[in-house]
Amino acid sequence: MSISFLSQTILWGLFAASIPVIIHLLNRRRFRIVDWAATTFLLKASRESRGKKKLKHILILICRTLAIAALILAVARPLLGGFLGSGSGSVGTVILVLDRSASMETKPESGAPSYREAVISQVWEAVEKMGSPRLILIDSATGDIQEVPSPDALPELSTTFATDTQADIPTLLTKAIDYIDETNPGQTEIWLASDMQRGDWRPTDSRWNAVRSGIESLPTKIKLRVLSSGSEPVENIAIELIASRRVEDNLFLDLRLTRSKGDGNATVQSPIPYREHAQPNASP
Amino acid sequence: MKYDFLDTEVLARLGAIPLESRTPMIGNVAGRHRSPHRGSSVEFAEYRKYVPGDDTRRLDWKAYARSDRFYIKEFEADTNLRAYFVVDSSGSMNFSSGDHPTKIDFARKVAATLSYLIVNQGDSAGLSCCNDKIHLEIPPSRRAAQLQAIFDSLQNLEPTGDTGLVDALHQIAEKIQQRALVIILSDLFCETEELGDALQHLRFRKHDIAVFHLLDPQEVEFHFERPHRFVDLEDSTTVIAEPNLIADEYHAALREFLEKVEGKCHDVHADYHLFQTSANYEEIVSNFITTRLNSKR
Repeated sequence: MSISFLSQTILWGLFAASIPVIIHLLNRRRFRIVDWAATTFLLKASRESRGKKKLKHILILICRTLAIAALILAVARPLLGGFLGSGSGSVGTVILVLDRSASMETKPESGAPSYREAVISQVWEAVEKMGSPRLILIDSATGDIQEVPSPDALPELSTTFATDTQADIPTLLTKAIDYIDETNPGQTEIWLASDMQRGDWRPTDSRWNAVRSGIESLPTKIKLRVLSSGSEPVENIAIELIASRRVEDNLFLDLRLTRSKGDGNATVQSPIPYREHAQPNASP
Repeated sequence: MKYDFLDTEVLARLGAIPLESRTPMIGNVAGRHRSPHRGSSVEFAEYRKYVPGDDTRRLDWKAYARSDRFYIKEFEADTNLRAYFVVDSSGSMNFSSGDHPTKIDFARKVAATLSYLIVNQGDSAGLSCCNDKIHLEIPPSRRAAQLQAIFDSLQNLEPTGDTGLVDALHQIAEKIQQRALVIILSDLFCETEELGDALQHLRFRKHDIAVFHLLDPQEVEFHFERPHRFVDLEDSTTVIAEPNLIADEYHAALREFLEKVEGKCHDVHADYHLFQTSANYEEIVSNFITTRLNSKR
């Protein structure tokens, strides 16, 4: 039995499952003191209810805890393999649609892997746990359909490397649907790994209708899983090269910084790293 | 009036109804209550055959003329009533929830009102107060000054200590030599079997028993929202409980207790009255007096 999660960070929410227990314990501590005369009946009632009622109460508490845990696990989008996964039919083919756009190189924090690296490792882990189904890769940079011999090879493939291109999600999905339609690979899932950039997804594009009807017209039902990376940035700063000119030994660049969201009046310090390539030595 | 447990209007309204004994009483003076002995009242009781030694003045000559036999004509004897109030003054009687009076306050009202009515109709009233033992005794008397003694004692009554009602009833049963009306005012939080024995003891001594069983509405309803630490009023025992969880068992235990107590009271033909302290005491006293009028044995 193996299980992996597409949104592993949500698993931190499992701590919330302890909330019913904490509330129960707090309630037990917050009792009122009252003078009482009929203590005999109270003692008798406490003795009699100790077993059955307490068990019932504990069961209710466990159910509440499990309900919260189940909700969080469901939100974390589990992928079941082995015995548990067999119940839903084994997946024969996984088509990984990989967004290789520049924005996928965003690192949520310094030292952490980029969204692209994280999602590749997530896919690798999930596919391993699912018993290594057939893995087909469609990357956004080349748009080629490529069969990956082993999940281990996924990080090594040049078609999973970083690019400074933009992705076209409707086109990639169309390709995936066409591939399924042509090859009829059986039980198939499409895993769409993207950082949900509007420019990549093009939500107003008319091809989305074709994607929807394409999925519906497929002979076998497929599952489309979106492996969304990243989150809504608190502040978004974009840099754009407007023009460049060289005057003697100096290179002048006209850059435009666009800032969205955040407090418009606040001063923001945003260091812009640059890399200088050395001039290749001229051959003598 | 300096006693806040007495209401003159209530006394005036209830004063019109006589308080009767259900069983023949043995008093020391003539009164309005039936006696087991034959006497000289105007109410005919029975004829009995003359036996040597009988007073010949009591022979019924008309009966002799009709039957040629000697008969003695007997009449009922009327005597006075002795009422003993037994007030439980243990710590549990000091319980009250919300705006209701404490059980001891309610007992004060009932005892004071009834003793006033009893003395006022020429009968004797006495008072015994007990917690773990009998700590106050006022022998019955029909003097007007007796009322002040009873009222003062009720006024100064401080409920403390454990319930020793059973022992107190045994002692009272032994102490009262002649038939009397014993009125018990208590929450009866004691062993029901032992209470039954004590009532049997009173009954064996041919006393007329009346039981006023006082409970607070909260003790009956047992309605609490949150967990509570219950501190016993008598021995400060602490019970931490979640009332929501044990309410059913509590009600079952209370029901069982009330059924047992009522059963024990019926066994000895006691006049049992269960009521809550939220009730109107005038109605209770009035009901007590009127039902006795119809249940004379």
